[in-house]
Amino acid sequence: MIVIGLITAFVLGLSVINFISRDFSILEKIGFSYIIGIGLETLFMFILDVMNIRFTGSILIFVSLICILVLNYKNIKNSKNIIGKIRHFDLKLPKINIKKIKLVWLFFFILTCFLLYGSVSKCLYWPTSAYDNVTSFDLMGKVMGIEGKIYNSLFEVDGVAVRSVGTGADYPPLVAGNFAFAYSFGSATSKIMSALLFVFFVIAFYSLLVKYINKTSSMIFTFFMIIAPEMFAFTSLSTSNIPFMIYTASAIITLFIWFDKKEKKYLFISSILMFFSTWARGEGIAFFGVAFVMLLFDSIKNKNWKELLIYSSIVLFSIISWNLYLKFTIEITQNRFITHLFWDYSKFLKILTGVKTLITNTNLYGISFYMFFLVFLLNIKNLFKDKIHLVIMILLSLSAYSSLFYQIDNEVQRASIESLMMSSYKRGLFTFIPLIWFYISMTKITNFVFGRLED
Amino acid sequence: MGKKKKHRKKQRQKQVQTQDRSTALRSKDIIALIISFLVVFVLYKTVGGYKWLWDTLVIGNIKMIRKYPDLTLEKKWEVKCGFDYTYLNFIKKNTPEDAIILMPSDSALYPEGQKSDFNTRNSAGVKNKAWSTYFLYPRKVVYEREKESNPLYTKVNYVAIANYKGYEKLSYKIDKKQKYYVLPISLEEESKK
Repeated sequence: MIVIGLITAFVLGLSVINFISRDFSILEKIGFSYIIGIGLETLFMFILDVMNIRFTGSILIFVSLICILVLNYKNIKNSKNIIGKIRHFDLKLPKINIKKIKLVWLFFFILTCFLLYGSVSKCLYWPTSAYDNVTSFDLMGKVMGIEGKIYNSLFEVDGVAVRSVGTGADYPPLVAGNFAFAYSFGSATSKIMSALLFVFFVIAFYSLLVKYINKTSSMIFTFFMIIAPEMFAFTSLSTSNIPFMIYTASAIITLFIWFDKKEKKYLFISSILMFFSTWARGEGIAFFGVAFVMLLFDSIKNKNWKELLIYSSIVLFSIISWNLYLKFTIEITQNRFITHLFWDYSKFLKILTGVKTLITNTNLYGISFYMFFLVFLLNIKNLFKDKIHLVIMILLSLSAYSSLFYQIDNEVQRASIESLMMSSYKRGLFTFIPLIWFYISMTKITNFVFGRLED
Repeated sequence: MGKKKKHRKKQRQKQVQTQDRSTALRSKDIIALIISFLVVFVLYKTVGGYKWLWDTLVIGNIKMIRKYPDLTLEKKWEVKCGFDYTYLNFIKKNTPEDAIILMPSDSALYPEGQKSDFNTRNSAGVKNKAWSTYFLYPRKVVYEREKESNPLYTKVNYVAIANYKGYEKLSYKIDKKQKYYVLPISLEEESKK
């Protein structure tokens, strides 16, 4: 049954992508269909919960099918033409010329597939056991999936507030909803959800790289992206950090593509992905803030506010709706952040030291940050001519993300800034790994070296 | 005749040129492959994180999975979560789904001056309500520390025994006491069972 559910989620995502534009490449469609489809399933859970309808696997499939029909309305209307086209369709499979396959591409393709196999098999073999997942995300997902409600017996029993779940349950419902999807179809564990999300993200990342650089280089940089050690270790766990990284990094990259190519389809995809980024973790607001500032400057420059309005209203819907739900249904007010500006030199220094310690630790992120700074310096002459939007977004996002930690009220959080840096902040840096490698791959200096691979 | 010969000669020359070009490309490809292999190898040898990723996360796990392909979900949880899981699984197997279970207090889990079987390394384990709920759901769990705040405390129908503590909560006497156990709080509950 879970297989039917997953296929439905994939088709739903594909319908959304096709609805936005039919011009996406096949790889982009494959990669993003699942990522968007499964995100939408969690949105359906939320809407059904607000409407007081208990969601089950069958109901989710039913709602998805209705959406698929609506999104494909034009196709259904032209079904005669489409059937005619299918009848006369001459199936030509792409000819694979083995001689033309680059050995380097093949080498990194095999390595990437093997690493993915390692991650997926570990993910599916071991059940959830990490503390945060057991006490928050997977527990919440399990009860959501079985009871069909977000506000469930973990919060209230017979009208009495009795909390039996960790603080992760206050996070937006994307991650728990993802797990709930598996449980609502009767699965014993939810690990398949984490595994699939990562595999489809790797395809999506490669598909976006191929837009700019040759296939061999794309495969090399995809490989380097996935081997950031700490991030790779987390891909087989059920934490919220990897889904957050997937949605946020994809949203920033597709927004960059929109800035670069001005193809509207990427703006829409980015807004949907940013919606799910803020639907996964509260930190998404820092990255949305950066996207908002970039779009605002673009709007002022081009005197066109449409893009900014569309983008912001889509993402704000996610932030506002979840916060209202927290306040009025779960009855929790977020007070982890200090809402006024202040200056604490010692805290600032601790954060700065923490950032330096983390990004220079090759045991955590491999050579990712070193390569970023190296390429950044080598490319400094071309900095303003060469993918400047992406560089600004990476640096602004890093600052905005660090500022969030500066604003945390450590007394309310009951954790020192040092410990938060070494736990939450460390895992939040995963988001920068795909962004960094995307930037590294497409600078002039990198293309000078790697561009020759397919001459 | 002369024209034909010239044409053939040109064709042969073209073939030779194409062959030369593809041979050059292939050799370039092979050189690039060797360089790629060397780069990956050097990174594996010099960056500790990459070595850990390959040796432990990938190869180590694949070996482990191949060694124990038929391990049940229960056994896997036992490997990962230790005695705390074994204890909760025992409670799960010996209580109905609608049970409201009074969990052992901290002093029962970690008796003074004795080595405890329960987790002491971090916040995970039986002492943690959310952690216990994960393994016991749909059963409800109540802790001694929630006596004043949790209305379910008065509705408790099962008591989890740890380190011989918890028997005092029962409304009946037990002759043969066991170190770890779960029992109905009253004989009425026992008859319902």
